[in-house]
Amino acid sequence: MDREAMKEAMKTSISEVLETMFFLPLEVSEAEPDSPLFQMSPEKLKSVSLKFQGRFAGEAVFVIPTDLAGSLTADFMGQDPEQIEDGDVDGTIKELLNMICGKALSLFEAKTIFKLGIPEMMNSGEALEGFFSHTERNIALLCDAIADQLGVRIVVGS
Amino acid sequence: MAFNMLVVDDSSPMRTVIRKAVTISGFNVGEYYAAANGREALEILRSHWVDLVITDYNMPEMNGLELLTHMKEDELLAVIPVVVVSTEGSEQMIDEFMAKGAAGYIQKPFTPENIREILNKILGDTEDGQGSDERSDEDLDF
Repeated sequence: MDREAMKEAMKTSISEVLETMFFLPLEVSEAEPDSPLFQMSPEKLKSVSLKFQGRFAGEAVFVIPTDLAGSLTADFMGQDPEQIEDGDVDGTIKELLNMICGKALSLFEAKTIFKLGIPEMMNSGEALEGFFSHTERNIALLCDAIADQLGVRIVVGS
Repeated sequence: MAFNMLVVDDSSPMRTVIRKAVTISGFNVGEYYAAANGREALEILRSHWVDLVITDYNMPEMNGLELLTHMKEDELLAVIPVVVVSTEGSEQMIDEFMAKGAAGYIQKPFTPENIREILNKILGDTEDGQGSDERSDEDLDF
């Protein structure tokens, strides 16, 4: 796998998804372990994972502060934050990772079919622990929004 | 004229967004039905009159392609236009949706403008022109 090409596809996909559907302008860069997002308590974060298969298999993980996930969900659904339920928040960030991953894979290889799994919520402590592992096969990106940070990681297996 | 619409997606927030995108595009939605997968969608289709189906592809139990296949095998359901809205972006996959009889394909992420363009082709412009290109893109923000 061309790591740089995948990284660029991920960056483009993240920007496109968050700006088109969530009106969240942001800058995407390589994540560093000392970034504020990765210093947060796991209790204040929500995390989602999504496995995929195709010419190569892998997993994408998305980490977002719970407060930001709530406000993104309210904006996405066009509802007041008070009306938003936990299930809506989880559904929104699952969909967000689904879109990021699907778009990135199609940008990376337009002629290849990748089968995406169903996004699942995951323990944020485990998500943070694994964020910088498998360095050769792992692409860890940090998204700087105006007041918050989001993390997206993709690890490619076989 | 109002049309009845069924939105099939396992994400409840995404169903809300699709419904909203169709409405703000100027199309007159009569009855709105929602299903979380293809199996639920078929149950609704067999008991209610639906003019348009907008479906995701990747769903548990029965995906969008399987739903499309079942609909095309059913004499009554085969005539209902189906628009696939999915993260799947490979050319091969899109060709497969169209070969199975999809009326249109929209890749996520999408804008209301993307929805409007496809629905204009399938349903025709709205009576007041609001669903046509006369409406500016600025009017079509989510």
